[in-house]
Amino acid sequence: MDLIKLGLKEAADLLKKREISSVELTKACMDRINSRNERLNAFVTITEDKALEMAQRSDKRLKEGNARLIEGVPLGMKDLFCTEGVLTTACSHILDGFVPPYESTVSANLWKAGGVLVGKTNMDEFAMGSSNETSYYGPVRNPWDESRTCGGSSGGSAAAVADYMCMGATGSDTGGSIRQPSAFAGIVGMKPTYGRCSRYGMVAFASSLDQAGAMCRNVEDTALMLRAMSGFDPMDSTSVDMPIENYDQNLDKLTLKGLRIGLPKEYFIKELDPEVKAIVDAAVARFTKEGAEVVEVSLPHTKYAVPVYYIIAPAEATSNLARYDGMRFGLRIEGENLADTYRKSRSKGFGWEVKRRIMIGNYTLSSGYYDAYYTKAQRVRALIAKDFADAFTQCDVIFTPTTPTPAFKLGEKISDPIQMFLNDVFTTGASLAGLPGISVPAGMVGGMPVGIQILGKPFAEQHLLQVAWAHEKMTAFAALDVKAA
Amino acid sequence: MSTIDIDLVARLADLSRLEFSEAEKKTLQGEIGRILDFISVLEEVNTDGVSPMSSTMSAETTRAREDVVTEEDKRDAYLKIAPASEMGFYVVPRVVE
Repeated sequence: MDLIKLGLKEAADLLKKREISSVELTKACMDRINSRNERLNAFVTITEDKALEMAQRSDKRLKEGNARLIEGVPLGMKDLFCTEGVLTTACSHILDGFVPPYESTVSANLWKAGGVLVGKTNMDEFAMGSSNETSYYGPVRNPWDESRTCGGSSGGSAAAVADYMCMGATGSDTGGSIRQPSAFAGIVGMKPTYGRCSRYGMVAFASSLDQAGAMCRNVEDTALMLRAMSGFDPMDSTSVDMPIENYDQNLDKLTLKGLRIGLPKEYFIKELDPEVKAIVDAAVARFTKEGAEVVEVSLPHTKYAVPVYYIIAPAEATSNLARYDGMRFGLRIEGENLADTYRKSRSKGFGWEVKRRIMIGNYTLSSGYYDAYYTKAQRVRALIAKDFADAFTQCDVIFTPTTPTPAFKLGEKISDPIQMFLNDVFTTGASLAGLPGISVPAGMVGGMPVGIQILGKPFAEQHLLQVAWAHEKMTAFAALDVKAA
Repeated sequence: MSTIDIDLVARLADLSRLEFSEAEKKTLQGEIGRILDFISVLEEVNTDGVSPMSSTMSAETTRAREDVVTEEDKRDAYLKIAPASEMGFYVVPRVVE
């Protein structure tokens, strides 16, 4: 048995049957990480000792018959989730040496369910980027083709899962940061509805958009992991007090006959790679063969989603990043006086992308421009949300490509911010509207995986997972096997 | 083509507590100008009567909690990760000259 290739659910089941132990599974993942991470740069911190300690505790529970939901399964944690006693940097120089004295709720929930931490995954600095190239620790390389990006900002999590370094990993999604890297890596990634997962202890980027989610190698694993990590948290007033269903238990309880699939005409644009479009068409055809109906819907404000996002996200980031001043934690560069110390610490600590976004945020929030940019963007955001609400009166789910093209080359877009932004064209809309979305592998173009995105109504995670599961069952693959590349 | 004055770049940098070399300011001037062009497309959208949306949350999905202290006292743990601390306080550069 190739332990590292076990899925999360599969591994949890074998552990419960005591056919394998958590220590041997964790060691197998560690071996994989130690042999591959130097090339891929998926992890920025590897927690080998802690992982083995957690695995031993899990084995004890398994032996005693006290196993929890995902007892003993190795997981990766995006480096923006605070982990008590474990370095957390959001891949920024300014968080040098930051070892949080508290645990994020999402990670705490996963440990309470029995998860084992193998390490912290690489990401764009403060989650600002779509290629992982803004990380202070250097870019992640895509396991399918090391000259290509693995997407961003959750690029490390995507590469770690695709390359069998762990059974699942957390991501966070502000404008597509779970869905896009999942598509680029050939795995499943889900951003739930805003409010499903607590943001407590998650390094803040854009607070009205940030949402945690799960990245795994198949839909059932993603459902199980999401079930373990989400839920109401009194520490985050924007987390919702709604029951979490046993997402992984109900995946086959959906009748495809009569399912209304919305195809937004504005998403099938000229920048869309025709081969990617063909993959979406093929996925839709699988459903219509089973009796689903296709409805053409319109999301008229689609082309404004990226501009709205690039006003709102930097504006919120500007406020959130004001806390990094070199006084209470992280990097401090002494200056001539207080203000100079702030300036030196921040200038040395933040990378270029982050600094540019702070500048843009302070520009659009300044008194002369506030209404023209920030308030205007908020108004258009309302129209974008209304587009989706209107569309969902005519359809049950919306199918789109996750990205216009497969993973691009490292270095290809980093010098042109606008080109980089446009890569988020299909994912930002749902973020602005707060809707759940999942990216599932749907085919290959030029040797690289391609994902389709399925969007749903607010809090329809269970339904989305059922649709995604149905698609997985109709294809020959769950996650695409990286070795087949 | 949107342009942004180099003095405004300097002013924004000051407000942002960031410092840039002259060359970096020039680069920023160009990049910010291009981004402003890109986002200016919003001008063409009719938003008359549309309220600004600051959150996707609704009153039905959120609730207020009791106004009680929930954080435990972790002063020592927080001070331990500070760049400089002394006798239970953060040490910072002189604030009042």
